[in-house]
Amino acid sequence: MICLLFVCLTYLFPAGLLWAREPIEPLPVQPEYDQQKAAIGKVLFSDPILSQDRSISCASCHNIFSSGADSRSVSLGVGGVAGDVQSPTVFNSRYNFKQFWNGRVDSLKEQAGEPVHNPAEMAMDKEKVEQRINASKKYQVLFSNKECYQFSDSITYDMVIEAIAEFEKALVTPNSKFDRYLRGEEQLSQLEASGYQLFKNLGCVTCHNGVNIGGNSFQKMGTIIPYAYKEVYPDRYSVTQKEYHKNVFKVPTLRNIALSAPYFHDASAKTLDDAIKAMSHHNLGYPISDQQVKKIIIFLNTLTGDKPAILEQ
Amino acid sequence: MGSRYSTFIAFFFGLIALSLLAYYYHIENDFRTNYKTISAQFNILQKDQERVSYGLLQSALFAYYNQDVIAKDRKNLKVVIKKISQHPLIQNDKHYRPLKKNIAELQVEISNYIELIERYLMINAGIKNSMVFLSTHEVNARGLFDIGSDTLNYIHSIIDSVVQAKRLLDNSYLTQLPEYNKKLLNLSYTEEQDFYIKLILTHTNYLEKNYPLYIEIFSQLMNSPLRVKLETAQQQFEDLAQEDVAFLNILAISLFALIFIATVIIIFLLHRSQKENKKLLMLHKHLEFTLKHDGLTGLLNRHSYDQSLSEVSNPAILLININRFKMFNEFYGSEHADQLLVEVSSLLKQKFAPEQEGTCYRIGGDEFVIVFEKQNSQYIEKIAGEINDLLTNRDYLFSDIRYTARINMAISQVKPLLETADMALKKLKDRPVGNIIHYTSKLDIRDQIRSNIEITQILYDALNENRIIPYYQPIINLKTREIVKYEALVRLKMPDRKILSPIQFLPVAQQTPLYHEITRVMIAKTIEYFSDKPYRFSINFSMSDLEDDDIINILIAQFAAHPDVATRMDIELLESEMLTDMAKVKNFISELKKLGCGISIDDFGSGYSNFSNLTELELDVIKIDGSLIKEINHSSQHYKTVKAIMGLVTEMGTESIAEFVQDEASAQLLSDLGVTYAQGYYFGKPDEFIVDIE
Repeated sequence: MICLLFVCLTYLFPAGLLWAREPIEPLPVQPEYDQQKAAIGKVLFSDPILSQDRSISCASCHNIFSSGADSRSVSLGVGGVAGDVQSPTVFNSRYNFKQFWNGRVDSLKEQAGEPVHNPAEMAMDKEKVEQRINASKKYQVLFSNKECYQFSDSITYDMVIEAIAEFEKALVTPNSKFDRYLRGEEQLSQLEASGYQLFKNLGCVTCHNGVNIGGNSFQKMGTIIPYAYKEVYPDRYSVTQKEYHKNVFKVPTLRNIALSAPYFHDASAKTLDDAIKAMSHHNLGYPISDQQVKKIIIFLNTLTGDKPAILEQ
Repeated sequence: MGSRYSTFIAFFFGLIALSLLAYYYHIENDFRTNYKTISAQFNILQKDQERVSYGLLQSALFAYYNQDVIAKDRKNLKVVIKKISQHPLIQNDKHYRPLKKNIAELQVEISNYIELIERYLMINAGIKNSMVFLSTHEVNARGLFDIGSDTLNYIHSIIDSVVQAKRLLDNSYLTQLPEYNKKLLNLSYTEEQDFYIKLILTHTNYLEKNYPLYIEIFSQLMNSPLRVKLETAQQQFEDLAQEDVAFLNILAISLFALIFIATVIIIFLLHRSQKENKKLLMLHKHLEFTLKHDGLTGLLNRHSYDQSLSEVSNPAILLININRFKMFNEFYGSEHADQLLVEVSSLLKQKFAPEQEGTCYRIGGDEFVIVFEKQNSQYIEKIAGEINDLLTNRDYLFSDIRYTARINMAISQVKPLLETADMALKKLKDRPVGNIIHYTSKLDIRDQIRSNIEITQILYDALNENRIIPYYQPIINLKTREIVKYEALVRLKMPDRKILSPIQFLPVAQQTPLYHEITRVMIAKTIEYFSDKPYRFSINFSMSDLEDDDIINILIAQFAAHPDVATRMDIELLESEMLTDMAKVKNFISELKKLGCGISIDDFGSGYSNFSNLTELELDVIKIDGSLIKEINHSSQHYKTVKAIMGLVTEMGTESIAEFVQDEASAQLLSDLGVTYAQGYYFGKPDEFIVDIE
């Protein structure tokens, strides 16, 4: 009797039951965001108006037409000043539990403001931003939408940052092969499936789980076998000053990982192969074989999703 | 306290109650919203904390676990506690100040809790993966080491310890790990074996180092004081809210009390106004009674009478008047007179009790009216008889003095009722017998008044146009039946030649100065007429004529013009009139007598003759009143009166004339009684001209 009931349930909700068992969830196909604001954010995101010398924009370091990350080891700010960390991807960042490598802020809006202020990045301040944006005919028109901004006479810094954050919320890459597999729409190939199996068996999934396959916890780089500590990198320690937070970073997402080389906060892994081997060594304490690495790469390749819909508009 | 103040106070209380109600509503609404919001947030905190706890447990036990749930809920904990701490109620309300401090502590507690979770997740990952490594790579060990070898046994022991510690979450199982590690290290291995052993040792070292921490952090999380602190804070909030509710309750009770007081005042006011209304109603009734009733007797008054007439269909009234009441009042004083009125009234009241036919009113001093509806005169007459018996057949006793009362009554069914009845009553006073009279149109004095005016006009015109003329009626000697003289009787010739008899205009003329003018005309014309005739004649004079100097002068002038006429002329004085200046009249009469005029008294027996005056007037003839003569054949009363008059006549030594003799029988009778002369239709009608009998 119970068996029969189970069969019925399996038949009726095969996809649901599958997801429930997997530690990874598919991305929402249509993420919720304010389209009006996101549209303004989209313009702002690629506009160098927000940098002091009008040389760079958000998009300079977050290539939204590729992986949403920077292909350079370290991003360059105004006047060619080098940053201290490899830019993480902006894609699917709304699903990270915190923002930045060291998780120093909780929300996208808080995040979006920082590079604008950072002297090594855009080197602006609130007043300058407002001055510039209000002086721009383009933004006067864009922000004149009374539906969104009925209480404001002029464009405020907050409105600018909010629009960028709203755009970032739209930067979601759904319908990866793996997501479709999770939704029961597609089968993984044998190699992909064995890669995923390995991903779970070796313990990668312990940290890389959830909707963003990562991004929901902090983890030490070199849990089992220590990773060389360098003060220059903004780790969790730089936030909390706690000894055990040295070399601790937010677990990065593995979505679109095949596109977002180089890897790690220090861009030390130029290829996926390097990255998997390093992870396996330092964080799993496991001497992974080349064959296993290949399998995992095949699995990781299924995590590349569609370009965010908003970019097509 | 005036009702105005009470009204004001009730209004005041009502206003306060209303403002309090608005205030209460505002406070209560605020309270409810705030309470709901904060209470809901506390519930969210508790639920999130529970979920996080559960999630942590799952992550500890399950090989794979989606940490998103923990991530989301722990983030939410931070957000919600921030919301609570920033809520205006917590921020600003003094009442919730103790809670504010605790919430600040709770915020710290939550961020500690979150940090602990994050640290736990870090360690958990390493522990898990080391465990997985040790358990899954045991298989590999089989190929590298001989079964039953010390190395494999130690490895197995290590795995056993780790699995036990993991399964039971008890790090005491790991106490032997260093010993196994040491033993493994002391053995010698191939290069390949050495790599593997070092890897195992790395993991066991990791576990050995981190597992106690893992257990500690895990138990810290599971036994986190956060749960208790959350409950305490929520309880504290509920308690403070309860105190707020207590305040609201007090407010509500005061509100109720105020509304109650206002209601009581309103009821009191209503009650009093009702009482005052009653008083007013009584006063109104009293006033109405006073308005409608006579103060002295309590009977309905003239006002009520006037009102009732309009309401009664076909009314008839009986007017009652106490005879000689005015005299009674003057003689015995108003106190007794009032007593009499009260006595009479109470008798009438009894007689005309409300259920009886007829309503009694006192409309004047001694005048009472009974109003009947749709009653015939016989019935009213019957009632009048009963009233007469009731009021007159008794003695009225005041101060031991007995009185009797006489009444006159008039019945009228002709409007205006009171005037006609009153008129009838006046007529009744002229009658010698009976005390009930019916009003009929014949009695109508109003008509008479109208005709008086007309007659006065006719008289005036007639005098101006010389249409006052004498008619002459023969007077015969009853014995010889010969004409002895003529009486000049006044007539009025109308423009249409119709002749009016004196009864038609003389009573009116007597009330006016025209009367003397008529006398003057009569004197002039009669004397003129008889101046060339041999006959004796008589002219009527009223007593007042004798007081008129003009008339006397005319008469004297006429006598002077026709000296022989005076000896042929008789003056007939109307007996029915009073003398005012006796001396003047006597003087006049003696003057006339000197000239040869005879003096007679007219209509003797009709008025109240003053015998002493009569004897003083040196009368030659007494003319007996026609009303006595007309009935002499039929009425013994009249016969007796005439006989008595004749006795007087004989005594006075004068002659007598009977007027209104209409038949031979009367003439004979009068002759037998010794009456000297007679006149009447039987002997000759008055006429404008004399026709000689011969």
